[in-house]
Amino acid sequence: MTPLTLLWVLPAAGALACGAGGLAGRRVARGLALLFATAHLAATALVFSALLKTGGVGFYAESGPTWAYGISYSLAADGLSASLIVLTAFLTFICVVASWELEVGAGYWAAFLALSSALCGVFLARDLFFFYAFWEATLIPMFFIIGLWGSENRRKAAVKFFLFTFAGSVFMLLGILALVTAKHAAGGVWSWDLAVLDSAKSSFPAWAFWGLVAGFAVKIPLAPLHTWLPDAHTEAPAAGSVMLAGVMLKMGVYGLLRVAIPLFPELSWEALPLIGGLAAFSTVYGALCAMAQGDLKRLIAYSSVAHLGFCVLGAFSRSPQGLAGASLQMLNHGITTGALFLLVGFLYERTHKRGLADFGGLAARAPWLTFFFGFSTLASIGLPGLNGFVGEFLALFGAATALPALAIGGAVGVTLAPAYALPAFQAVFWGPEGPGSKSAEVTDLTLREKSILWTLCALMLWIGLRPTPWLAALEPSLRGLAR
Amino acid sequence: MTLDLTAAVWVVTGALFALGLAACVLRRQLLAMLLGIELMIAAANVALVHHAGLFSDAEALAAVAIVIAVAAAEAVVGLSLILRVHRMGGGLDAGELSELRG
Amino acid sequence: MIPPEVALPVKLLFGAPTAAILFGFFVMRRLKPEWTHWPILASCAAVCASAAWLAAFVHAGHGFDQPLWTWAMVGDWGVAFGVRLDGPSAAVLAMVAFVGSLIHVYAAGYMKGDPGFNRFFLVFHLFFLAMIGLLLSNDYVQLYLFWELVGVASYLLVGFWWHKESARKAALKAFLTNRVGDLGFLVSVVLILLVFKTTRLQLVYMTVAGKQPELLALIAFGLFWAACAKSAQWPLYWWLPDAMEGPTPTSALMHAATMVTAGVFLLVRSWPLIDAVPGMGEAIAWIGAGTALGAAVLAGTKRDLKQVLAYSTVSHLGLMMLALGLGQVGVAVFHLIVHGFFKAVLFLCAGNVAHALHQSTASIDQVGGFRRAMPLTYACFVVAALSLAGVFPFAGFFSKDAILDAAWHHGGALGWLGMAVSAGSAFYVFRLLFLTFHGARAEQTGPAAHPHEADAVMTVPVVFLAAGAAVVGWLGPMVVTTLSSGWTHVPQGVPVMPGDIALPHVNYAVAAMGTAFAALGAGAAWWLTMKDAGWDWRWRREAPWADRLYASDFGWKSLCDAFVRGVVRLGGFVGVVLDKRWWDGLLEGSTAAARVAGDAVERAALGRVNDYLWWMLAGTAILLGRALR
Repeated sequence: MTPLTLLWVLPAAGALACGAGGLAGRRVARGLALLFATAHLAATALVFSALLKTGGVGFYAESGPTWAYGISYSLAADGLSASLIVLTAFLTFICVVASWELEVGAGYWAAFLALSSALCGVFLARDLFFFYAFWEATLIPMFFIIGLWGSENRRKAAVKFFLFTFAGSVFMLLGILALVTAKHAAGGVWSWDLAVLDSAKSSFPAWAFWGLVAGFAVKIPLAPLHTWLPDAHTEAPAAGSVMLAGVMLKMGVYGLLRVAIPLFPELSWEALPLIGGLAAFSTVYGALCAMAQGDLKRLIAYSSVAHLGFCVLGAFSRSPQGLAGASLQMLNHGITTGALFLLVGFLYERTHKRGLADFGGLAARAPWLTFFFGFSTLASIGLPGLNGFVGEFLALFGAATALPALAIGGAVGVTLAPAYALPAFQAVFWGPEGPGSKSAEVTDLTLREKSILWTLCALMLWIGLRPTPWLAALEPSLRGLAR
Repeated sequence: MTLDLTAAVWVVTGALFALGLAACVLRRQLLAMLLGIELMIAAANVALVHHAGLFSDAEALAAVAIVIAVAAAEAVVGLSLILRVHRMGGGLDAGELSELRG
Repeated sequence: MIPPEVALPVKLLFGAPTAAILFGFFVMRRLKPEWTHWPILASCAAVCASAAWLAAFVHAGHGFDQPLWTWAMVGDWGVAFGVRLDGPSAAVLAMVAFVGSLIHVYAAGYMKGDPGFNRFFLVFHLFFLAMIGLLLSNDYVQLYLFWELVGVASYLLVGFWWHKESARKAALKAFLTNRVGDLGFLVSVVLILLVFKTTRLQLVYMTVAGKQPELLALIAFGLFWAACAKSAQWPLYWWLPDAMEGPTPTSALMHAATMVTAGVFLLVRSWPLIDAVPGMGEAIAWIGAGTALGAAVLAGTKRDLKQVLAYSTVSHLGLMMLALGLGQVGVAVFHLIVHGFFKAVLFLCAGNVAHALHQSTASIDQVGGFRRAMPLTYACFVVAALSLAGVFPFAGFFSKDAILDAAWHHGGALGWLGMAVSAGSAFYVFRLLFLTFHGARAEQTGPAAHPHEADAVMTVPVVFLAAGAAVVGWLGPMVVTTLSSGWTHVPQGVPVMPGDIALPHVNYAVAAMGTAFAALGAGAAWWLTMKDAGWDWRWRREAPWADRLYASDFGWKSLCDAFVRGVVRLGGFVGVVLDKRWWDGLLEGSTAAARVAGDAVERAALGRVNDYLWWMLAGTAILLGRALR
């Protein structure tokens, strides 16, 4: 088995192993999950370091057999996809550690590994058939993660999540089919391979682009198509939110960078005022919505809408800086929002509450929780020196080179970020304890929880102070997309 | 003469088919509907046999043999299903069997 | 290369505070939190020595601008961080290091016994470190980094006593207002990148000529907007008076050395950009003068000691802006340095008074006649007040006179505005002096609360600072030499540090007029606090409308409040009504629409086999019809 195949097969095998291990008891399944998540993380790190040695340009690991209608098994990794794969494996590992004390069965662990496998498949596949198959496969474990292990309204949230994103991907499927048939009509060859399709760029119908963009935009989500996100985030278990925000949203941006923009270079440039405008709108709209939320998870969910707006802004600016900023912002958002969701999850585990009004004065009771939450909040609002700023700044700069008005819209979004993040921080950690406050039940973080957050916060600081190596790993794979 | 025979066969098989169809569509008695189906198959078979002779085509005769076998199988399956429905107390009225309704 | 003879001090300036903060966080917090200040004070000593070393280096005519490491690089574009040492950075750094370190010493006494002692010192020192980094930045992105770090540190310090609602609100207000200003900075940095292809200060200086004037104007405006927030100028000044909710050393550091001077420093740094935009300097001067006068008037009406001083800071920053806008950049920096000394003294004295009352701040109702109980504090306060009012030979005289001279020579209303500010400054500071230390009046609780002089750790630093406030004006020539040296690699003709007023500069006519106006203000203060002792309380009773007018800063505060409420309500509308109820309701309602459609179709599907057969028949007929046609 080639290394790239291993990257998605390993967690899939882990999922099966967890399912089987569940027969022997919960603890066995849990141990197996940790084992496989660790192995997967190590494998991704190995592949990534091999990739860095090639200068980040990428390598094809496997071009398997071709079946009917030109469907072929072809995988590839470059800086863009490999970084997201490492992020997937890393966050899966973090989720397993963070969920360690939960009273859950083998299915929980299996679902996370299955999700990890499908996500890696999405980032690896270069054949649109497999891309689509993996894309839809991610829905199944996430559906169960929300629907089985979520909080009170989990059923409705799970169904809403599934229907919304599925409806979005129908448009994407139509777009993909249009590409493949157009290629066949133009050259008489059936192929789903991105590299082959690339040669038939001029024959693709414009509506295929809009279909693809619609599918990706629901996933990202861009502002008017985002309403599935707050519900899904709110009801999902903490680790589920981490995977959802940390990796699944990135599939949309990845799709833009991998499929929509390379195959439609002119059209995507012409669409900049519309899509870039929507992205800038998302940054402001998400921030305004977040200001009104009384539930920590909903608030962070809306902030994700705002942050992902910067990714789209950078991606569609099609400048080297904007593209690099967009892809770095994906990693940043995974780390920072992951940390925030975990922290809210820790609060929820202790009190079964997550409303702003349910807490107060935690700074005195749980100093470590306060420290990490404050740190992550600062990273999230784009404090220079921490990771969020790098991505936002590069995306804004990219947008300015393309259409300066967009940069100003995005800058307004940056300005609004503390207007929702800091009042929330103050309400929970500084504010007075209201009647029915759950603060008394909150104990400070345990060693296990602290280790997770030290890791995440160290990454935030590292990327913030020294983004160059990260950018250097991402940049070569984005070179072809620049105007 | 041959033309007349063909016309006669068409008239007979057509009438037979129409009868079978009418039995299927108009009657709600399950057995009657099954009989209607058999009639339609028989009509098709007669037409096939005649035209096989007309064009000296052995494959058509083979098709007739297959149709007879399928019809027999269909009768068996159909009858046993009807029997099953009857035993479950569903009666023999197709109008009553509306579980498919959404 | 950093010149080897100053490599050590540069390393110490960054290394010592970083090490002290990390040591304090990881080691002292666990072992001996009440000793956190020792490593930090050691770091302060190192910073002071290094700053003096660097100032001497620049004074001798050297300077450097050295990128040290690449922060971010994409393709052919990169941002490198480094160290830039030239006149303004060395001069301001020397003041910040000296004043800041003394305030650290003071804080060790002031914060003693506070449960958050460790946290306070770590953040306090981070604040200091951020300012040092800001002064030594050689790149706009780097400057922005430290600029924001200053903002965060001030947020944590103003909100230090977070259990007080006023502190929480003030912290939020400070951060968010500054963030509104940072919008201008961020847009400017992005535009600078767009126009100049680099953010390195030196390269910007060299290539400023011949760029698109519209974009340059936008950049200059954005930078000024940012400076308005940080340096508390109208229209964004309103956070500063509230920011005194933090512990007093925080206020002192913020007003004297670290935070508010950053805005002026940014404009000094960006002077070539501002100078390239016609009319920009004039606009800055007018806004500065207007803010100075308005804040001076308001300072005379406030009741809280620290609040009076806060408005006084706004007023003096306005004077700096006035000088800067008129092109006298050197004078602005000189006043910035002098102001750092006397404002630190005033705040620390106010802190001593509040400390004596066991409060975080004091109102004029609670003081009166503290002269005898706190002689040292009193003496220091007097020196600083004379300096602030611009009385010869105290330091403030020299810097203020230079500003007034510049304004007078510019002519027109600006000169008279400057004179009015001079009178107002003298009025509010002497009003404060008389009300606090002389008296007590019938309305004051006075010294009944048994005030006592503070410990040596809290008075000795103040004495040192007061000495500075007295004599630092005589260092004018030294400051000017320093300011104009160290500009390596900047070609002739680029207006980096202009200003034709040689310091110390005494234009006798202007000096006499300024002093006369100051005397007028001081005399009015004496009359209305000593001669007519109850005046301050009386006018509030008799003219409540005036009280309201002043309390709302001539209505501007109410306007800002309304704006903030508007944004919050907009957020509420968008987040709850528009997004959740309408838009998400509509989308979730689409399932209901599907159900209605399903019900409609259901009527056609009753599950009867015969019906389906009819359908089938019809379909077959259509297909046959098409096939046979």
